[in-house]
Amino acid sequence: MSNPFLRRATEYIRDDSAFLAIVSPEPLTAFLARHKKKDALFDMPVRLIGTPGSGKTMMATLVEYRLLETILRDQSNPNNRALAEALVQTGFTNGDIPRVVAVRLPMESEYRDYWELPFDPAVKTKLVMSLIQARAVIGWLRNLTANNRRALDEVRIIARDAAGAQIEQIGGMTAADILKRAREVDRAVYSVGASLLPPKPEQIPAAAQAPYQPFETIREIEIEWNGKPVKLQPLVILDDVHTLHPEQLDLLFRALTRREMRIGRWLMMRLDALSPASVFQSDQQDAFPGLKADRDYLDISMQSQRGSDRKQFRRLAADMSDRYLRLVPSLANRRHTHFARLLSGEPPSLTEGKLEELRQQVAKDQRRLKVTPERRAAIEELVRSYVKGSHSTDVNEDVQLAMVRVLMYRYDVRVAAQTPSLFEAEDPEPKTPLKADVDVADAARIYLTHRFDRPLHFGLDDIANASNENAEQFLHMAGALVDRMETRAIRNLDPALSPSQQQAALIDKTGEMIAGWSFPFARKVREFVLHVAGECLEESLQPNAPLGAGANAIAVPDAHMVELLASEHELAQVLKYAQAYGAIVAVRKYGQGGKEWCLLELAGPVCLNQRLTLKRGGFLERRVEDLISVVEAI
Amino acid sequence: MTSRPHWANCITHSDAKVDEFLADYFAQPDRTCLLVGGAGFDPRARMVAERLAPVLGDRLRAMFIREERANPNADLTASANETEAKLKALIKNCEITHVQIFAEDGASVGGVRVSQALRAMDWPDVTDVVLDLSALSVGIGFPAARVLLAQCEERPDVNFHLMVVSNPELDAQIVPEPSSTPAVVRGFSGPVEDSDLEVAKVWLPHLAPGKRATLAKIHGLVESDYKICPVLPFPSRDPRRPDALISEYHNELRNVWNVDQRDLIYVSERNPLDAYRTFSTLKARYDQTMEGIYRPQLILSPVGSKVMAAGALMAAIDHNLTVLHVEAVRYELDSAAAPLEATPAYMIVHVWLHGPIYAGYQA
Amino acid sequence: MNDNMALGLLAEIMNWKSDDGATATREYGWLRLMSAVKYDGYSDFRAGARFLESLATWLKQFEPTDREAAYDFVKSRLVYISLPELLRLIEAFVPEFVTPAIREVAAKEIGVKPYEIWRTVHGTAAFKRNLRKTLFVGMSDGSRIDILRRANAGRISQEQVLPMMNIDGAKWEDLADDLRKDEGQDAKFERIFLIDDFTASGTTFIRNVEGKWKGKLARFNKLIKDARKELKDKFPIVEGYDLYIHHYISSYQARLNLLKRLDEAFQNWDDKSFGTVTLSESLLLPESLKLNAKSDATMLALCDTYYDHALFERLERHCKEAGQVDMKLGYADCALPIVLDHNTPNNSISLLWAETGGENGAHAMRPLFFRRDRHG
Repeated sequence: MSNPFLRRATEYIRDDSAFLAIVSPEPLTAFLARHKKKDALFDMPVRLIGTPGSGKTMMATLVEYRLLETILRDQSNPNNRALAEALVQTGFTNGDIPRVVAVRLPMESEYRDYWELPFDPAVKTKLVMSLIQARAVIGWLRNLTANNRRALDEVRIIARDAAGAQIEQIGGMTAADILKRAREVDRAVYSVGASLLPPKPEQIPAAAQAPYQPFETIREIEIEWNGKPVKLQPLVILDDVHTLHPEQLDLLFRALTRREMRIGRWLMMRLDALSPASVFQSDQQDAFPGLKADRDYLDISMQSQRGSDRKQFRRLAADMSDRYLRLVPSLANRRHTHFARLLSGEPPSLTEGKLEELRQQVAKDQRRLKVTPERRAAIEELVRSYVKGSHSTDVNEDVQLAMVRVLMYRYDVRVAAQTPSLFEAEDPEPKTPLKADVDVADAARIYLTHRFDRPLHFGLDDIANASNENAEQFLHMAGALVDRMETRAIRNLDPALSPSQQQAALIDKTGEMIAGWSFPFARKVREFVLHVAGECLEESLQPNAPLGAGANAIAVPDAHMVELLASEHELAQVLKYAQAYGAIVAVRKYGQGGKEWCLLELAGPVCLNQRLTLKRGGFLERRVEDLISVVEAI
Repeated sequence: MTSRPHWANCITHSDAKVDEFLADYFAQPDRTCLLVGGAGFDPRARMVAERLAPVLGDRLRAMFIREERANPNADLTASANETEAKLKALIKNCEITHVQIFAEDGASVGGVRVSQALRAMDWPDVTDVVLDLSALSVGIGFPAARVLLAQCEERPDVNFHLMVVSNPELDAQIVPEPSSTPAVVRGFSGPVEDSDLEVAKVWLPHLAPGKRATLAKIHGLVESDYKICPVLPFPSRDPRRPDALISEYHNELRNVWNVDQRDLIYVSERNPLDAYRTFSTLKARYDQTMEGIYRPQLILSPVGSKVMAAGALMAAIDHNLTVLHVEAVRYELDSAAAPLEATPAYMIVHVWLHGPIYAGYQA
Repeated sequence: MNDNMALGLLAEIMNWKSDDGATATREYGWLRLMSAVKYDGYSDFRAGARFLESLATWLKQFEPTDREAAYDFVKSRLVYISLPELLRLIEAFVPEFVTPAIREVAAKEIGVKPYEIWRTVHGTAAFKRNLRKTLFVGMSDGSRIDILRRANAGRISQEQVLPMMNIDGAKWEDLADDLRKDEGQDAKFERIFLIDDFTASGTTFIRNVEGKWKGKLARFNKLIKDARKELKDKFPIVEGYDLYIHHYISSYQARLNLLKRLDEAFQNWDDKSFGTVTLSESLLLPESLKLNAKSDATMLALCDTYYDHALFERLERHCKEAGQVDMKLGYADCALPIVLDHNTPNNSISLLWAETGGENGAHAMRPLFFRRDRHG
């Protein structure tokens, strides 16, 4: 009865097979399989920086040993085979044999709470390190013995050669003893952190104070696999470390870079482009003074570079939506297994009445601009040859007419800037020749959208592009479309949605999303964003379309942004929260026209809702003072 | 199992009976009282003080907590300042404690700070301690209650009272802007894990208007729940309130949380003992059903009516339950709603949690 | 799926546009949820013909232009008390109404303040004693005495709870014996709680028809008096006992009416068996619940238009006493929008519950929540 697109992904985690049905291997292949230092992933500390919704948590959950084993054991399922392939590529497995035993530890607020205890930083760090190590040990053993696949005594812990006294400190050599000690440490440290009345430093329980270094002591974990012994590399994944206090994280990170550690250590975090941390950090080399990226640790950014064309995410979106679609009974029962096919991409057409209106409008414009019939014919020829060579199917008469309109206006602007020659006829040549290209086509479509209500956004690619590389955001928008499809199926209609049905559903859903923003300064952010959208729309609807597809962003000089963010001004707060909660996407040091800008792009859902282009690059230049006035007026 | 059998039937009063009780009980000349409450923009902040001060006069002392957050709404700050001034005028022996709710890195630390402040306070020689939860957020009020109750329970002659002024319609007008990080309320992390059994998490979110984003955040922290049992207010002043909430949360109920309709829990909007009893019964039932198979963990998120929250508080303390919560970074007033003064009447509730008056209680 | 056909049907009946599907999608979500949570539980529904089918049939009786208002009424005005909700009201009864009352009485008896009753063992004993001397009587099936007993097992003895008013002499003697065993030779019940589920006008409970007092209270009073006459000393209830009247659900108007009439009865009944009377309710419906001309003009107009007077004629004898002339707004013109899961009260607007044949050109009324009529 429920719509699986709208279920929280974590809900599926409870049920392994349900989770495996929906998790996509894309993030693994995209970010890890091709990394230049792939081989060091399990040796050095790795910092994985992702944007919200980039799938880092799903990925971390997928590689936990329990699921990895489930995947390996059932290769009859094509879904599992795809996941297995990704695991091989990233080094988690060796063909059919596991290589890594991973556990994911979410860094919830309880870890941050340790920083509030009245102890020395060194003591606080040691407590957290003990807690993390204890829980990692418990997690590894739990994963290995999950689903009754093996008993605890079938797990052999192999210590580092020079471990010595550390072995006793971790409880001994057998898995059972080690587990017992880990639980003791977990309980002892937990009780220090959770109590309303923290103990005095000298009263900290012995189990929490005693030296405890399983990350240094343990080298490998050995199990039996299909009758043969197999050595597994342990890996601990700390998720959401950005919730720790910055000082706390720094100390913890340094503790984890100790060379004696043989186990893999991944730290996953998000970094907001406008946060103090990133603003004052010119390049990642300075993240941890004294430590060098690539030498002491690896940095992996789980977001596509701006240069790319978002192809990666579109692949993920396509994969995910197909998987989820299979869980929608009313559609799966009718054998709909490709989500993209339920989103008609057939170019929308204007009614004959509107088409006639368009023809007349263009004719009127021609007269107003005093464009000669010859000039018009030349322009139409440009458009025709563009259409012939274009890959898009969305270039019918309506788009062509609108393109002609744009080009006529451009002609007018260009010749108006030229000094008239005494010898020129009434039909001068523009110095820069007119060109009919994809920009003009995009501009034409925007015009048709706002003038004739022609759908602008439809098809899987548009929804994927509007998701700002956030899987959850994609699923919510796709889910809204699925609801409409189900409604049609209920009425025995073909569930596929036409472009205008898609556009209408998306406008409704994104409107809901925007109205539902609930975070600090949400109201101001909403008003600010809508104001900016209004200005972008105005620019996009300029008849000569100077920005082609139009604008969906504003930009201020990067240096001024740095100043603003350091101030306590309300605008700084509004922008920070807008970016942190996905209302805008901020890009620092964006180079354009010989200058460095801080680009503030409207989030995809805003562009969908306001019917602005999703294409990147068109922005309005502004000054910080302009933005301040906007915010103050709200 | 409870060590406080009297809680299922403890002395409570509501509305007019509260006034009668206070006027009678505190008029006794040997009664001295410490009032701990919030001094914020919420108009309910003054109401308990306004009832106690005339009766107790000099026998009343108070500690008011002012919750400090960055970038507050200017109007709300002005209201809070006004409240503080009025409270100071009302009660001579009055201390205002400012508690920073967030640390400089944005982490929620109010609970730690208020616990520290209350423990650092010199315990006064009083016969009664009243904790007014009305204007305190859950992250502050709950730890405060736990600390104060612990201190009172060490002193069998001291009485501990909870008071709540509630107004669900007003609650709907105050819009919290939640922080991005949900957290365990200080002192309410639940029992220490000491068994091999897998944990079966049962999340009990209170549904309240305008709290979808807040509950969505908290839900993120409850990874892989066994079951979600949303809590609805019934009986309620408006009999359609549960239906309106079901409508507002229909996406969560049907899709995101996938709730079975038989798992909806109804709890009185006006009697905190109802919530206490309901959660206590639920805990007992799960303990019994899952014994030896899973370790049940009940997780409360009382984001709505303070009266229901008071009952949740009692259950959480008595049975060591986990309370998850998102602190509000700021508050805004819902501009679309009617002005604060013109809302329906306030409900006031008194719960007498501890004192020599229970010495003869038998279950 | 049964649901799909009914939903499709509703879309047709309500003319929800098929081109963009926004309305239908939104409404389907709400309909499915509310059916599952509440409406499908209505006792009169059967598998295969539940809320969605009933709604479709109900809406079809209206002209297309009137359906929007009717649907809107269901979405925003209807108050449906489900079984889980009713259970809460029943469970609240003893802790919220009985316990405080007993505390008061016991405290007075031993000379302390009510809140001090548990300070001493002496007080606790007084509480227990007085609780035992309380009799609980259910006035109808709706009192759900079975649920009340289960919810209070261990707190209240089986021998203080009576499921109906018709108790014979032998039963009274049994009650008396048990009470004396627990509380001593002279023990008698000192207070009685009369419990019923729902009152909308208060008339079923007590009314004055041409100088004669009628209703459940009058019958109960007579029952007590007759039993006392018959059993004399063996009758286990004191003279001038304290009477407590409790409804799980009461309308605002009912409470006003009951207070007034109880007062009158108290002044004017020479033969009243009780010494004091107190009225309470687990759920008091707000005054604004009743349909009124200001906020519900459209719906009231529908009540007017889609009405079959045969309904009134069928129930005439019962209604005439309430002084009404038609049944559009329900019994006693209460005009309530309320449905209980086991039956719809006739005080609700008849459009909700009535079914008629539509003879002689009248409109054939179709119910949304069919009412099983006790009176005909």
